[in-house]
Amino acid sequence: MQPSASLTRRLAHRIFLSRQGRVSDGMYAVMFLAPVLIILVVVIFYPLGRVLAYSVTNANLLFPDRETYIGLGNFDFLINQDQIFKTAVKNTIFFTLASVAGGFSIGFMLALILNEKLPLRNVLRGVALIPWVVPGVIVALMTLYMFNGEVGVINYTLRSFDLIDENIPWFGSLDHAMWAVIVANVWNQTPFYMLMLLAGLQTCPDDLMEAAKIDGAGSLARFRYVTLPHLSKVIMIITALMVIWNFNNFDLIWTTTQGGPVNSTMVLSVYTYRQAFISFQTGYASAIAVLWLLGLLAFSYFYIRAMES
Amino acid sequence: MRSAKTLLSAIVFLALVTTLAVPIVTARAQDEIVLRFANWVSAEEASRERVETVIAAFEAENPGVTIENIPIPFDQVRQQLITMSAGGNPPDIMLLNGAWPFELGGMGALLDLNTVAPPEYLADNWEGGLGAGTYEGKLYAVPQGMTPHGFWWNKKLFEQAGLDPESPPRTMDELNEVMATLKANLPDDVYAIGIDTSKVDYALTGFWPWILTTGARPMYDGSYDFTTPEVVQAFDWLKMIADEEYTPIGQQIKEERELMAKDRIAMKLDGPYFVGILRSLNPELEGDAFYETFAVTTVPDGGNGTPVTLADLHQIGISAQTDHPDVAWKFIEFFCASEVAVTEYTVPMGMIPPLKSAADTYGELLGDPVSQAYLNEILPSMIGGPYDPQYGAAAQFVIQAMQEVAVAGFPVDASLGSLTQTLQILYQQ
Repeated sequence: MQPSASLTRRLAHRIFLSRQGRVSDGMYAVMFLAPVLIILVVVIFYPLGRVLAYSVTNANLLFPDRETYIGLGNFDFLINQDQIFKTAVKNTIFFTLASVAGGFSIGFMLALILNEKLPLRNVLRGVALIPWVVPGVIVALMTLYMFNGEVGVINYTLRSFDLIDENIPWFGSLDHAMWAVIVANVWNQTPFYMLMLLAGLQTCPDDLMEAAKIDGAGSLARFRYVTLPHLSKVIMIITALMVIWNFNNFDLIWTTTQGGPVNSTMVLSVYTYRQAFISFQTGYASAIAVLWLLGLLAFSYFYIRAMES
Repeated sequence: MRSAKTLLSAIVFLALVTTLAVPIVTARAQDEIVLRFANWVSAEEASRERVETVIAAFEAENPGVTIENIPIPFDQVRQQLITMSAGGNPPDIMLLNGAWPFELGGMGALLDLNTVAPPEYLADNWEGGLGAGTYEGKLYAVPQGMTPHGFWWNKKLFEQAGLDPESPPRTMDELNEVMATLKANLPDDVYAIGIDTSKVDYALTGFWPWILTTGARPMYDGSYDFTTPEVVQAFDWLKMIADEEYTPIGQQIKEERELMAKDRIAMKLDGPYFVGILRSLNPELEGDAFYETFAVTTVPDGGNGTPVTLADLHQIGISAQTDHPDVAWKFIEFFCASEVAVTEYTVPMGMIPPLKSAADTYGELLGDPVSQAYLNEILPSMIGGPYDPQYGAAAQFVIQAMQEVAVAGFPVDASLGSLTQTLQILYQQ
């Protein structure tokens, strides 16, 4: 039996309209949030769900008929047997810490310098931003050429100053390859630190600085007791962001070394890519991605708690 | 009120007209056959024009057939084709290389060309060429351009080092002596030989001939043992040339090509297209100047008098899901063997045409020293690769072993032992 027209009208009125007969605030909220929610579900939550599902299978694109559920088999192999995975975790942590430490230190120094009243200060600030605007792949290609063992400008410069006797095979050396990519990464990311810290420095209250000067505090003491506490929140936010960012860094290492030589620059992003798109072991790659996500979630949780305290 | 109704009526009318017109347009489109052709040569502008010339000629001879050219950069082709095939949206025709026919064929993505190719066409192919596309008795790809690696040497550097520029080394023992002489008599920044010891997949493609020349056949016929004396010999040789600094370390093939073009590497393996590459890197090599500087021959043999090289070719295959396998084969035959394809694309791109009869048919085009060396010496020496659906994953471990030995200085026995164990686990999965 068809509902009567008047019942339908009353139901619609109740759901969609307010007491005054206009579209309700709740309905407006749903209407405006719906597109974003749909995009979030399609782009983030659905793929995330599929990755979780794949991680407990032996899915392989080359053998689509052989996919079966294997429980925690992938995770067990990753944690207990896969030496390359352990190397990738170690390399990722080292790469991230070195990149963040290097970028932060140099960026902070630049921010302090560019906060002073210098001639052409605004021009210098613009120039300092250039490495940041260069796309990651271009940085990687430049790095490949600059650090080329035979014709690279880095070796040429080092030999010109008698700092080395023979060319260093940067990307052909287990001892040097990681440092070459870290140097390139620090160069690329330093302006971000500089920009954020410079913005923080410019909100540093002048009256506090004046008061500290009057009380006889030297520049180092003023930096330690006035500037740093004022910047603490900014420092925490940018280091958290850059740890996550560098943990996920892919294009620089893939373009330069692809994780070599002999896995000396193998990081989690490259290892996951290799498993997923070179070996096509999508189940195993998904398991790596799940562990990686859990690691970053744990880091974010403890870091935010530390921030709030 | 009246104008609103008029506007609404106009909108409804337009919508009706559009809806009715679509089936007519669609019906017209359905009469035409459209085949999608994925290839990497169209990803570069100069070579895309040549491919488009061949496609236009085919379409002119076959009205009602349209070939949709899909360019994909070489580095992404394997990944894209496998993903497209797994996703149910593969191109009808695919330009292939190396182990790709085996990977795609193994997952059921390629048609067995024995069902569409005439026997007389197949009989006109080089044996090693067809072997490079055959897996478990099914022919998944036929050669489109013959590009196996030959042994290139720089005659001027040979002369400079006091060697006979017209006498390349024919055996591995002779090669070792030549390398020592080059190292002793040439400047420090000139290398005797170029071996790619980077992490890229092509590093193994370039090293396979050096493994094969010892008589080793690891990964062929289900054998994954890299600890045989022959394989150990090949990796010992790799370690030796790295330790003696006969080769630059960590340089990819494209960087080695640049060094060779600038007389900084005396010998390396590469395909017949190396002529065009060297000329583009060094304009002084135009015309006959090239043949005064460079020459090519077979890979030095392991002492048994039988040179061997890997059949690394441009191949072409048909999707198992295509609706028009016969038309797709017609295009393949045209793209491989027609006069316009050979004269406008294959030979100008530096490849040798795939059919044996091409040597007679296009004798004038293939009369240069490089083409003659390939036709008479190198092509007869090629054999298919040890390919199977898991080759892509396995190759990563072999490349790692190469790097361990050449870059990290690991003991050969330890690296190859570990490699063998890893491959045995991989193939048991």
